Amino acid sequence: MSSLIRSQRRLAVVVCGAVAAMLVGTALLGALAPGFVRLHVAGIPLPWVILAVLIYPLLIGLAAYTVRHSEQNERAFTQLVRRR
Amino acid sequence: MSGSGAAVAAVAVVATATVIAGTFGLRRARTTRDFYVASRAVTPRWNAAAIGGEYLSAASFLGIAGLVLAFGFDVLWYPVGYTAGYVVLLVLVAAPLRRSGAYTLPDFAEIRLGSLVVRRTASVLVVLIGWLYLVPQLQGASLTLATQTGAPTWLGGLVVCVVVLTAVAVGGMRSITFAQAMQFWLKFLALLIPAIVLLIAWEQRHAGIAVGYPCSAVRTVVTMSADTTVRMPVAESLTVDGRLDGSVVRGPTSLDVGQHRLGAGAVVTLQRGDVIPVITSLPAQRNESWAKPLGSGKQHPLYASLSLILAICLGTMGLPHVLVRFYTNPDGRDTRRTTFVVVVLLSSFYLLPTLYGVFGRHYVPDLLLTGHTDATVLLLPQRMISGEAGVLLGALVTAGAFAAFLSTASGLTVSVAGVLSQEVLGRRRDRHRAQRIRSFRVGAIAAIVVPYLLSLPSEHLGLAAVVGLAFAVAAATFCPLLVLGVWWRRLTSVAAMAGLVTGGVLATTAVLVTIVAGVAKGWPGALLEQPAAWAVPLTFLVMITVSLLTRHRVRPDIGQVMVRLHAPEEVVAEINSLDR
Repeated sequence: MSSLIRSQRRLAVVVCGAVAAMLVGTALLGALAPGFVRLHVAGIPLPWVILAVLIYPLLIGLAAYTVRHSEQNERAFTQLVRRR
Repeated sequence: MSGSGAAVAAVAVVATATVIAGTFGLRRARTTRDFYVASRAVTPRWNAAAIGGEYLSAASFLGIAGLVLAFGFDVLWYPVGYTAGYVVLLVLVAAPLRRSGAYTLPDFAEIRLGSLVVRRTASVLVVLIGWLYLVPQLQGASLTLATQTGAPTWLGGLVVCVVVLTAVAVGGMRSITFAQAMQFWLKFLALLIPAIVLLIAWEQRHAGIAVGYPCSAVRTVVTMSADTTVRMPVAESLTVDGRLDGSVVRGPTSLDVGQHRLGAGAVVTLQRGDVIPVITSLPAQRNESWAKPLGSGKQHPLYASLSLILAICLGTMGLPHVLVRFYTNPDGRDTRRTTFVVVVLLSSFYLLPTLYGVFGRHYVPDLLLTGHTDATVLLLPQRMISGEAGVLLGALVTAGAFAAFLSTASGLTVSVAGVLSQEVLGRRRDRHRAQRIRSFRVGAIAAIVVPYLLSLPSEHLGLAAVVGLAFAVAAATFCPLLVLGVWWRRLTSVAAMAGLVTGGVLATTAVLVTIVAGVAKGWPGALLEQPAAWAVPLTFLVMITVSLLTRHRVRPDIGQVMVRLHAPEEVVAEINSLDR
């Protein structure tokens, strides 16, 4: 049982870490690298492109990763229990 | 067709549809369990749309665009956080919460910790967060009706109360699942269709947001509804009729840079190109600064951004009305899949409010003068598109806005009413079914009437900002309880209690001070306005420390509880038989 909890907890740490890195990273980028503010994509400032549009597909990707891996962890655990 | 006639029709259609969807569910509502959680027979896709429908509140539909208009880049964290919060919820608590078999957050506290005291405390917090979240919904409804039809400012909230209570009374939660799912799509289309039209209109007329201070795009007449202190960012001659700085003026008047006082009833006529005076509660920033990270003009913007991200990401899991939805999924695996669909739906929706905010900065900057920036979404279609088309699109966004108030308000009312009827009005399980349903209905009345009364006088802080405060309280209380409860065996009931009280008292105090006294200057103001960054870690610390001090209180059957939370449903029985 603790093996399942441990693997799921590891997944939780990885995904939460990724979310934090993405969000805090973007926030800090604005504070620490004011140069990137002046970059434009199709006439729209790059920070707006990142925070208003690009971040959403990344969040969807993370959610898909979470579902796939936690189901894998559970399948492995179910097999382990059944084999015994 | 007049704008107000179309708006009234739109509100009537949405309200009627909500009540009809409620009656539709009536035949199915047989037992109390059905009544509370729709007999757990709702398919994942419906459920995901229902979760989205309930989650997208006045803050999302109206508030974000208003904040973007006023503050710019720095408030993009709101929609991003609202979405990221679901990713965090998905990976941390979705499946274990469903597997715990609890209906409500207090149920979870009791199942995990076996303590009635913790349960009661959690109940108090659910009611508190629910009320805090309901106030802006009702304010939003009043604002919408007043903006679109000139109705008195107490009417919109009252309409929402009546519709929600009718729908809840006839159908319970089942009805609301269908109504919520329907309302998600209504809200999405109500923002999407006008957004497409506005994008086309925008492309034809402008290359981008102008530089300099926000100035009027067309001739606009603004009537001040109350005495207002405004700041002129540059010296400008404006046409003012009424009291200005204590004397009555008529016609073109030159205003110096700095603060001026406009009396109630004063009429300001802005010509095309006039720089807008900005109410002192909002920053008067140049557009260049507005578009930049940390350029919103708030104090300590980096701290505020980070604390806000934390509050929203961690607060989502502690919202009472959102979690109750997960219990309608058949198992933990389905709950995760449902949550994934929710993330997809939210990601699509949240592309839109930002667009409205940016357009608003150009087309309805006069809202900066009155401070009613929450009306951005409502006014934009009629301002950008002339004639019938503008009126129709305006009616569409009004319908969407009312869908937002009704869905969130009914979800919250059901959750708060469930807790109130169980905890306050007695929870004897053997009571007659009719009695229990009656106590649920009484609970529903209390659940929505109290916040309605609170919504009447309260100072307008901005819809999204007040909702942000509710998130902060949820993040400082339920997030540590859920995360430690699910992932850490050693959490004891004493520690949970200590943590809930610490986080609850600290966050609520900060929130109340901010609402009652306004935002103070400097660091104290920044810390109180965004309490999550210090209150959440502190609550975690208290829970962990007290758990370690009360090691002997860890419940002896914690192993079984953890199996119940984490093991896939199909193997739970086998594991328990292995253990024995």
